Amino acid sequence: MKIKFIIIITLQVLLLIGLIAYKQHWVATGEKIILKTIPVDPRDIFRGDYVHLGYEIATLDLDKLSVTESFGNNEKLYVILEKDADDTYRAVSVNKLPPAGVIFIQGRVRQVGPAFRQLNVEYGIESYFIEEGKGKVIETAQNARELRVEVSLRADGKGLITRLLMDGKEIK
Amino acid sequence: MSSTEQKFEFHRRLKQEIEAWVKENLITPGQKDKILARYKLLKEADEKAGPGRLVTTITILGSILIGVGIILFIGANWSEIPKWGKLFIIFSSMLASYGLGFYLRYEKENYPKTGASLILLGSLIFGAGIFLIAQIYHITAHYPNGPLMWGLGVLPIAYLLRFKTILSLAIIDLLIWLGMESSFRISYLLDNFVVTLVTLYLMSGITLWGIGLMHRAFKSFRMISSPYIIIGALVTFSAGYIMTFDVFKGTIGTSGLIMFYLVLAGLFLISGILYLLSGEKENGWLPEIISLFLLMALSVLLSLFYKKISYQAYDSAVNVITLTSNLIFALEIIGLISLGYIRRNTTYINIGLLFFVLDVIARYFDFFWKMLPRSVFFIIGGIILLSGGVILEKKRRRVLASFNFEEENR
Repeated sequence: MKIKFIIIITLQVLLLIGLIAYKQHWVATGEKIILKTIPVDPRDIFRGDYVHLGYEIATLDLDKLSVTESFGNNEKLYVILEKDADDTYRAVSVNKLPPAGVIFIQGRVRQVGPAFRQLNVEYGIESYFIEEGKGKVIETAQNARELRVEVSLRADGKGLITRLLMDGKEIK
Repeated sequence: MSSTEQKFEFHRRLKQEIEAWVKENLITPGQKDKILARYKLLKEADEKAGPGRLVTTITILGSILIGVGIILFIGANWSEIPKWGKLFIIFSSMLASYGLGFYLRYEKENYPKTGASLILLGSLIFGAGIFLIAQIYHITAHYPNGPLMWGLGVLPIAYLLRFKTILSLAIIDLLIWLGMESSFRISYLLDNFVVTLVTLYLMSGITLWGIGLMHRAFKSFRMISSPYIIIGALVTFSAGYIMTFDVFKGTIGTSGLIMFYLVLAGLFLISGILYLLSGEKENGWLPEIISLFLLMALSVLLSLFYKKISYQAYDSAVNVITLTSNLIFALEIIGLISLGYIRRNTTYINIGLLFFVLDVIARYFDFFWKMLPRSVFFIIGGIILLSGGVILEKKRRRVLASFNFEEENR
């Protein structure tokens, strides 16, 4: 039994190490993009020990992006991104399938707005975990529109936050 | 298991067995008393030093406190501790409590209960590790893969060491995962979120129950069957209880969850077949497994094929569904309590009585809230509950006393 016990515990350790290696690989090899944040409802920003980040690309107007398809709640989608003059990325189109040859981020429809043309999209990069008490600084920065988030994109468009930048400097 | 603990265990079993010996005229009642007196000393020691269950509870609480403490320590010093430092704390404390626990329980054998709780602590820290790594990489708070990996990761330990605590932890993890993962797939717009989720949990409760029965039928797994049965019964009845309210809004299942329905139904069927093929079964096993099968079939079929009803048919359909749910729920309660009586299973009786009381309270509110003036409503309600409590307590005590022995499966 001892041997079996040791084997199971070793597998658990390997699972944790594998998890770290996988995320680290993602950070190291993913396409790095910078996203602009937008102010969020102040009552909702700071919950316990993480900051809620709102993004410009979280609200998509399908008419403005000249997308004809419509999307339902909870549906997976791929948002095609283009670099702006200030090195941040903005949404230029939306796809139901992963596009080829362009930079895109994968998300999921949270809410569908009026006439099914406005989408509220979640990308899985809305939380930034931080020590208790530090959230206020980031909250203020976000609301003053100075906060940028560096995201590493996996090949299938899934994003992972790698850095938080305030006025171009990294927040630790 | 230590030698003293084995003696206690033997004493408990002896008391159960000896009644049968007297009944079968193998020994006389006088001989029975003599035999029992021989082991009385052990029982007294057990009573003086506090029952084994108390020790288990205390050490389990200790483990949970330490686990929470480690998580809070890392959380409070988030930016001071570097990434590798956090991981070092997790890995070292996990391995230390697994190692020490195994040593105390199986090598040295002097503190088996504390050892077991330390192994549970290791499993808790393993889960903390998963979420810590997720936090280091800023994965959104909504993270269904976390509980999934946690549950599947600790399940082998539960089976290897036959630990009910770790098995319960794994089952609860997997139930949390089920809720998080499925809520991704239910459309808030087209589906009835509450009913869809509740039906899914109803199915998972029945599945757990079935898996538990299957475990019970095989000697080598009998020891760890109760977490499946108890959690399964609680989930099944909680889901059934919610369905007795006016929650139905025109749909039952959703196409987004078809895989979940099929997998749960498959697991239930496999467990059911293994259970049927097994040799040993308890009294009343046939009605139990048939009721579970019918309930499962009904939930799966309705979830898969119930078409959204038209607006005109709405009111009558709501009534039919709510009434049927109430009827089925009442039958379930009667069935469970009867099974408890037949099988002398206190767990079944207690769960049955709990939901019986909850059901009475809910229906009382449903029917009389609008009809009676508030003051009368509360006073009558209070009187009903108090007298009901007295009757139930009396009844329950009599039934439990008539069993006259501790159930092995608790």
